[in-house]
Amino acid sequence: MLGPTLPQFWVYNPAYAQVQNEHAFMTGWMDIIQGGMAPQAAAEKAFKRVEEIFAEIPDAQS
Amino acid sequence: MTILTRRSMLRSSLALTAAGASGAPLYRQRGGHDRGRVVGSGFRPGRGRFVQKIVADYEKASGNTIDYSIMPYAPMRQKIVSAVTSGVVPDLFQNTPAEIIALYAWQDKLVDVSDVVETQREEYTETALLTARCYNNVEKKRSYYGVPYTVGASMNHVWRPLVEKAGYKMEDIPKTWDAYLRFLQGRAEEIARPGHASMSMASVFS
Repeated sequence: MLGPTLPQFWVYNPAYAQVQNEHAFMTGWMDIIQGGMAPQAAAEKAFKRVEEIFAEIPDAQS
Repeated sequence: MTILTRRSMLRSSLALTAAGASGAPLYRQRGGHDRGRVVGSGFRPGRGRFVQKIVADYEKASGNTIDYSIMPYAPMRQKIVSAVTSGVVPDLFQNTPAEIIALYAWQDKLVDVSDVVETQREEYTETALLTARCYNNVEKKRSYYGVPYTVGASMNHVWRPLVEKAGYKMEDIPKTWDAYLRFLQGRAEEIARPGHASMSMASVFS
């Protein structure tokens, strides 16, 4: 755990950069905290959006 | 008059990220002045002074002048988006939020600065180099689209009172990732109560 550093996920796939850039998971937290959404529903919503982003920005490199 | 190019400025200043519309020249000459334009953050006084020092050192060494702005993160990020969207860009800007280097590189919005990175390669960690080496989906290749000048780490906060509330000490926390996550998840479930504020003892991804 205290070994060499690792880069952020988006280094390997720009789709995750978009996930981070539009705060997909934090939006889920706000759906729960502010919107009263059930955690399960908020998680499913967030993952659905993440899947959409990864479909829009395919991993064509790596 | 010295002809300043974006690359010459990057080599000298160890700076940031260079933006340019696809196919645009590396440096947009402004009114015949040998000036580059740089945007950096002033969120912390030390950071602002650091940017000022980079500029001053460059100006002293080169005899050129740089028109630069230091501003808080929020308005700077707005300006970066506006600039890259409109195509009227500064020569350099700070890579913030950090993931935009990957997005703009993917969209072919940034200048390949591999030659600049090469001059400093031996100074960098592998992580720093990986972070700046992004995929360009137009040119279908990875290359360096930023010049690292600082590093940071994602914090992983552990709430000691909650660990102790669960009957453990901080020293009990495992030292490897898988065991660490299992330990904290297990302790969080043990002390979970209705109305309890915590989702977990540790925020792994912030």
